[in-house]
Amino acid sequence: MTIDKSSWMRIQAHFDTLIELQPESRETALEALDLSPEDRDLLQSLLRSHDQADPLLDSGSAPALLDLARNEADNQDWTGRRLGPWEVREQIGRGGMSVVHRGRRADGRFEKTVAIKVLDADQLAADQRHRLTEEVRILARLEHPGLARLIDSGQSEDGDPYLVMEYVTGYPLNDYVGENHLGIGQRIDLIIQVARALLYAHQRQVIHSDVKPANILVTPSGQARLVDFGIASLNRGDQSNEARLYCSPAYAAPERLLGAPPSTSQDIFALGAVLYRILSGRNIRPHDSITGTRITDQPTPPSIATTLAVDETVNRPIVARELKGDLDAICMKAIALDPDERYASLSEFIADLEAWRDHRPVAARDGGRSYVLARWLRRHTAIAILSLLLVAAMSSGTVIALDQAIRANAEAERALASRDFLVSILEAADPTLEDGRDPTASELLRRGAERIDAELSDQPELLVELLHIIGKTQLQRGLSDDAKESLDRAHQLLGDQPAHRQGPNILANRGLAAYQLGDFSESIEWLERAVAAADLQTIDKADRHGIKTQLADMLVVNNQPARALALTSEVLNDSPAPIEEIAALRMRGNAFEISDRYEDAEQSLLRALELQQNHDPADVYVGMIQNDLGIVYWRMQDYSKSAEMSDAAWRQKQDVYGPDHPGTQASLTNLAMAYSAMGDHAAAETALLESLAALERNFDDTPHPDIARTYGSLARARYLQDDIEATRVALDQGMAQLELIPEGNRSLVPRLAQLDALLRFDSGQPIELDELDRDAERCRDLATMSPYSRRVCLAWWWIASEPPARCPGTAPASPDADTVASWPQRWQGRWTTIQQRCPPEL
Amino acid sequence: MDSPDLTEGFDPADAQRLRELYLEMRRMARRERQVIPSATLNTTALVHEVWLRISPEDQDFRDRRHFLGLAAVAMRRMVVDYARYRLAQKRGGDLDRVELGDAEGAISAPIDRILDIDQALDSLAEIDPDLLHLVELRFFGGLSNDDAAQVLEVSPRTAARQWARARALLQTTLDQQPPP
Repeated sequence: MTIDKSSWMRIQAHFDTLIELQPESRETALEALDLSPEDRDLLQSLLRSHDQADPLLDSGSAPALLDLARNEADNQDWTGRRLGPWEVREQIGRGGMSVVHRGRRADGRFEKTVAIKVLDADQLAADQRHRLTEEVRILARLEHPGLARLIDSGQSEDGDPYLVMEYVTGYPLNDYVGENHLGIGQRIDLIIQVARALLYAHQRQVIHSDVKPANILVTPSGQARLVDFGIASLNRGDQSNEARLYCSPAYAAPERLLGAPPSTSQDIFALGAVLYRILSGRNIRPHDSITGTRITDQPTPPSIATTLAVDETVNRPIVARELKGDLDAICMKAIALDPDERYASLSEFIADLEAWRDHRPVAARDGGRSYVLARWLRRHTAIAILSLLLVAAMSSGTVIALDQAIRANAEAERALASRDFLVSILEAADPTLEDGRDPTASELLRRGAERIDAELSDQPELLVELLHIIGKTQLQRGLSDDAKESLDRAHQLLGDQPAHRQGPNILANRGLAAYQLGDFSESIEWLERAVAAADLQTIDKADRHGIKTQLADMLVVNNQPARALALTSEVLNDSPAPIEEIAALRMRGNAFEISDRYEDAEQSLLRALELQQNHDPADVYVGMIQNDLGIVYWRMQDYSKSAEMSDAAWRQKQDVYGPDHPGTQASLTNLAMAYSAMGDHAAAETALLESLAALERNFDDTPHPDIARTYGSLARARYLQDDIEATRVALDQGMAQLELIPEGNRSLVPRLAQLDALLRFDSGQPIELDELDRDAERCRDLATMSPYSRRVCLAWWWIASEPPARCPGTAPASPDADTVASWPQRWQGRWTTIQQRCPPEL
Repeated sequence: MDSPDLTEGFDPADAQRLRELYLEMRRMARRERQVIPSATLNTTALVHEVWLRISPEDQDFRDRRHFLGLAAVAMRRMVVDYARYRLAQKRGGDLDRVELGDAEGAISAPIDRILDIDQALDSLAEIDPDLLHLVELRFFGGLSNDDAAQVLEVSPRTAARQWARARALLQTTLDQQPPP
């Protein structure tokens, strides 16, 4: 039985209206409708269906149900199966592209238990199967007491390669060191053992590429053995964006995280990081944050790190003293950010470790650092941190001017206490206390947060306030993980003081930390709680407005404009101060924009711009609003206005942020996009060159998809000015850049290969039709496509219709005569040829 | 209820292609408009600024929509074949419902619902052809409401209203079907 179509036609409008009503009021509304019994029945069943939850249709999709985003291998269980002569027993480990099982030989010809590692064939690119065979051949030759032996290898029936390795009974290095309360000397001895085994492998051209405590097993007799060799160096064949890193971020060298192929120097770095971990109890990059620029942060020397260690197995005061000096220097040399500054080989690393053990001078400690520079840096750090904290404290009202303080005694006490605290954090930066090392600002903040917890336990209200300030400061510096920790602690303490005046702000800032950490929906949850708290509590109206607008902002980012519009109108109807009104109007404009209500968006943003220009024309907010307007005009396809606004935004942001800030960059790129949409390719070229200069300054020499992408746009802008030679230069730069970025990110840079093919076609070389990445369908309407796409399509038609081939299907729709007349001669000639081969239908 | 060989029409080797298509669709849907966090954060200076990462040259909206539209139709075919294949793989002696995809955080629903919805969608196409493509994009393509709206060139609000219609019609059709 199916639904009657004509019946549906009659009731669909009623359906739309009724579902907007509360279920209670529907009944009455339904009664009032003049419907036949059949129509009424259908409408009722539809309404019932509407109210009935359906997890699949509501929050799911077929791809989600089929788990397409995840890997098949995750579901595969090998337990109980046979792999060649081996019987697979229980799973003992899992890596990014493999699982490890215990196993033994089914025919009993080999008594011992083995470890069987099965790799996921789907994840190995075709060329890597070959490399795997090669790798296995090399591994089979390794024979060293510090390495787990490779016993056998083969393939499952489904083609998944497997490796059979000696099963090592032992504890992971971390656990072993901790449980046996090993002294520093014993810890160093274990590292020396591992380094020797690794050296043996390096001398045979084998790189481990995933050295970490979990891969170092210590047998009951105290022998350290390195397991899981070499496999991590096989890249994953996955071209997707979501390609994961097949190494452990906490121990990986920075260049590896940026996509460099594995090297011996990275093994040295990783072993240095392991040494650091077991000496200090902390990872080189606390909180395992590998986001943004953090991986290029110079780690704190282990002797300092150890004072912050969470690892109970490290005896802090004693260890800190012992580490200072030589061991600090050895560690820091092994984990130098620049590979050239690391130990050139493991033999040197071993020599230094042995020298330390035998109390001889250590090479890594050259002591030649410029005292003046180090001192300047220390002072610089101190000043930076002081000003940050003071600004933060003042803006939150914790530190108040003295004359006011006299009037308000309690306030004054708080102000003094927080000043004392700020000073005490700074004392940590005192050279005499730090023994010649400069703690980074992030380190100071983190330490501050940890210390106040202990020192201010008798003043809970102040404690919450200061944790909030520190959290906010960390947020401003992009230390999102740290901010999250401080704010979580503050939030936890709020449990006992639900009416704390910073409560809503703490919740809101916690939401921003979640945003910075990339979790939009969590961010919205926190901000919703903040808004709820702000509505309940008597807090500053400005704060309440700020929090609401911020939630609106997050909703816009997360594509939920309806609630964003509601929130902003709440603010606008609550007599906001000028800056609050401006912010709310801006967010309202953005919410309109993503709802495709461009006129409303334009109006709201223009009003915001006007108010902001009256309020403070020098503020960067002017630029941000102009940037938004540029986007709105882009959507309205008014590219010249879009260019005008983006240009104004760019100038304003340059004045405030400087030329290299990401916000400035965003407007500059938007400007270039608008110019090229307008067909002003020369102007686009100028903007793109400017953008490239800034990008290259920002990323130093590090390859980045944005650089490759921008070269691509530059090449297209030049191509459309018919400057073939200059196009080739830009394109080659872009393609060279593309080679250097991780494979997984390459899809972020579209169409370089296409332009390359087009250029070759244009200079008379033969190309394959596929290289143009088009088809007849997409090339049908030559009249409306962009000039660049049109060139690609003309080339496509020309090749596709080249004799002896025939015209593929119907002729393309012709562009108008003026357009054709504006093309270079050779393209007009090609078009004539295409028209002869594919005569237009009459 | 069906032909004996449910695996017909799906080559297991296609699983990877299907995954790639799906990931590519999700990327495409998100690529154009990138939001960057601003460096200044406090309760009045707001967070986001927008960066256009798509040039009219390299990927006009039409192309993108075109791709997403075609991909969703292809996805429906492949997803249905794949669901059949998975079902046949997991099936023991009877046709009992199989719970799949219930890993952490994932939704849990019987996989043969996909086949039911596919069938119901054929009837839906007869009742109201306008709704067909939306269901293909959202349910079979896994696109969000807003992304689907963009492909269909309607406002997100319109798409949401149409989705409510399609959803109720599908469910009613499914309820009216005799139990298997």
